[in-house]
Amino acid sequence: MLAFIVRRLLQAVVVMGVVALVSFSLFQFVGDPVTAMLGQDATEEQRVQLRQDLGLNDPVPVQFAAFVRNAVQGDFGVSYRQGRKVSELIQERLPATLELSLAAALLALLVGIPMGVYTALRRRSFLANFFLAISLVGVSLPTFLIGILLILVFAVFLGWLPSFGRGETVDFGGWGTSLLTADGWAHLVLPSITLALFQMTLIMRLVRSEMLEVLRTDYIKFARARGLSDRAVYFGHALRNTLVPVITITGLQIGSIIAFAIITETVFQWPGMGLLFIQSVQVADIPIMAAYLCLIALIFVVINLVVDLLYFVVDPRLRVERATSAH
Amino acid sequence: MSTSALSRFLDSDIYFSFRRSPVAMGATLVALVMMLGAIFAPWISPHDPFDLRNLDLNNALLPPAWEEQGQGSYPLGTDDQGRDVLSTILHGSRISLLVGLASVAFAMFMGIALGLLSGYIGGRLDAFIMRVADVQLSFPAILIALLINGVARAALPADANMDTMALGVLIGSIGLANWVQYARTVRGSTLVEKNREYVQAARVIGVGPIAIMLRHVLPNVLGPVLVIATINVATAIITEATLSFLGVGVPPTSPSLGTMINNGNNFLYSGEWWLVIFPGAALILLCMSVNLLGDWLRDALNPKLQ
Repeated sequence: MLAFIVRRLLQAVVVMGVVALVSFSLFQFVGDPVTAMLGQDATEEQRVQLRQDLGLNDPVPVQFAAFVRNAVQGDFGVSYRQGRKVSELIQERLPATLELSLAAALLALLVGIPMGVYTALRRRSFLANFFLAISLVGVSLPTFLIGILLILVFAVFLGWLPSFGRGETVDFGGWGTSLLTADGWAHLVLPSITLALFQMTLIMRLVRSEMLEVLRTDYIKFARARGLSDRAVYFGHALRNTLVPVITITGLQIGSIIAFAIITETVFQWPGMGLLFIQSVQVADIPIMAAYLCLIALIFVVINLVVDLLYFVVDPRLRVERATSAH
Repeated sequence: MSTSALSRFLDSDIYFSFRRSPVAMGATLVALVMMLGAIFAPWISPHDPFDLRNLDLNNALLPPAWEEQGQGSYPLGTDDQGRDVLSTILHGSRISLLVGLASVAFAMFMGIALGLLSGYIGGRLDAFIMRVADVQLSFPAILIALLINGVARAALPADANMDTMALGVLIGSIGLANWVQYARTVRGSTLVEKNREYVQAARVIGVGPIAIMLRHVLPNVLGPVLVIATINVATAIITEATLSFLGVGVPPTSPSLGTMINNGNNFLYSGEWWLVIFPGAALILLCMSVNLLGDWLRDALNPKLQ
C-alpha cells in the first residue's frame, strides 16, 4: 500500500517536472523577455540592468531552479501583453472556469443518470430510442458547433437567453461569483449546457449499459422473487450498484470538463482561464501559457492521483493483487 | 488476379454484412459524395474562392439563392469577402480531409512503430514507452493537440512561412496527440504474436529483429489498427475544426470548415446564418458518416458479435 502510494506520488512529481521543464523552455526559446517587457526603445543600460535583475545571466540550471521555486509559490512573472502579474490574472479568471465546470458536471449527472436509467428500463419505448439518437448526435457534434447552434437558436432567433460573458458578478472575498444574481444564472444556462452535453451522453450510455448488466444478475432476480416492488428493485438495488463506476468516470472527467471549457469559453466569450489561455496562445504571451500549462497539469495529476487512491480504498481485491505481483 | 480479388470480396462476409446494413450503405454514400466533392473541388466548384480577381465586394454577404436577395450563381450565398459559400465549403472539406487523413496516418505510423518496438523488445524500453503513454492518456487528446500546437507556434521563428508551417504544425500536433491508442493496441497484439511458432521459426533461421517485426509481426497486428484509424479520422477532423475555430489551426488564407465556422460566428448576430449553418452541416455530415462507417466496420470485423 505504502509502496504503491510512493510510486504514484513519484510518478506525479516526474510528470510535473516534465511539464515545468516544457514551460521553462518556452521562456528560453521564444522571444526575448527583456524586449517583451521594456519595449523596443529601452536604453542599453536598462536592458543590462533588467537582464541582471531577472537572473538571465545565470547558468540555465540555476534559472530552472529559480523558475520552479517561483512556480511552486504561484509566481509566473508578469504577462507580456497585459503588464500585470500572471497570478493575479489567473486568480481573477479561475472562479469563472470553476463555476462553469461545476455547473456542467452537475447538469451532466442530474440529467444523464435519469436518462440512462430510463433508457435501460424502457428499452423499446420511443422516448428511449429518441434519447439514444440524441446521444449519438451529442457524441459526434463538435462542442463549438453545439455552442454556436444554441446561440443561434436561443439568443439570436428567439432572444430568450444572453450568450455573451458572465453577466453580473458579486465579489465574495476575492471570488467573483455569478451564482448569486439572476443575470448570472441566465448567462450560465447556454455555456453549461454546451459543456455538459458530451459528458451527459457519456454518463447516460454508461448508466444504461451498467443497468442492463446489473438487471441480469441473480440478486435482482432474487429481490423480485422476494416480492419487492419494481421501485425498490430498480432504485434500491440496481441503481446503487451502477453508481460506483459512474462516480469514478465522472471524477476522471472533471479534468476533461476543465479542458473542454477552453472551447466553450471561446464560443461564449466567458471570461475564464481557457479564454485567457487561447488569447495568450494567439499573441505568444509566454508567462500566461506557462502558468496555464502547469496549472492544468497539476489539476490532472491531482485528480488521477485521488482516483487511483480511491480505487485502492474502495476495491480490496486491488490491494491483494498488487501485493502479490510485487514479489 | 484483380477479378478474383473482386469476386472474393463480393463473396466475403464483410460485403454481405455491408449489403444488409442500410446505415453502412447510407454512410458510405454520404462519405463518398463528400470525399469526391472535396477531391475534385477545383474542377466542380462554381467559383474559385482563392482567386482574388473573381471576388467582388458588391456580392458580399448575399443570402442563399432561394432567399429574396439571393443570386442563382451563388447557391448557398456568399461571405463577407464575396466568396461563394458552396465553393469555399468544397475547398474547405478538402483541407479538413487532408489534415484529418494526414494526422491519422502520422499517429498510426508513430503508434505502430513504438508499439512494435515496445512489444517486441520489451524490458526498459517497453516500460518507458508505456509510462509515457499512460501519462498522455490521462489528458484529453484535444488538450494535448492544443498545447503542442501552441508551443510549436510560439517556438517557430516569426518570419517563417506560416501558411505551410501552420498546416504541418497542425498535422503534427493532432498526430502526436493520438498515437497512444495505436501503440497500445499494437503492443498488445505483438506480445501475443511474438511467441507464436512462425516468429520463433523466423528467429531460428536467423532473420533479424527488424525484419521479423516488419515482415512477420506487422501484417498480423494490423487489423484492429485499421478499425481504430477509421474511427479516428472523424475525431481528427473534429479536432482540426476545433483548433481552427479557436484561431490556432489552418491560416485564414486557405480556410478549412472550422475556419469558415469561426468566420461565420462573427456574423451570427447580424443575421447571416448561412455562414455558419452550411459549413457546420458539411462538417457534421462528414464526421457522422465516417463515424458510422467506422462503427459498422468494427462490428463487422468483430467475430464475437456475429
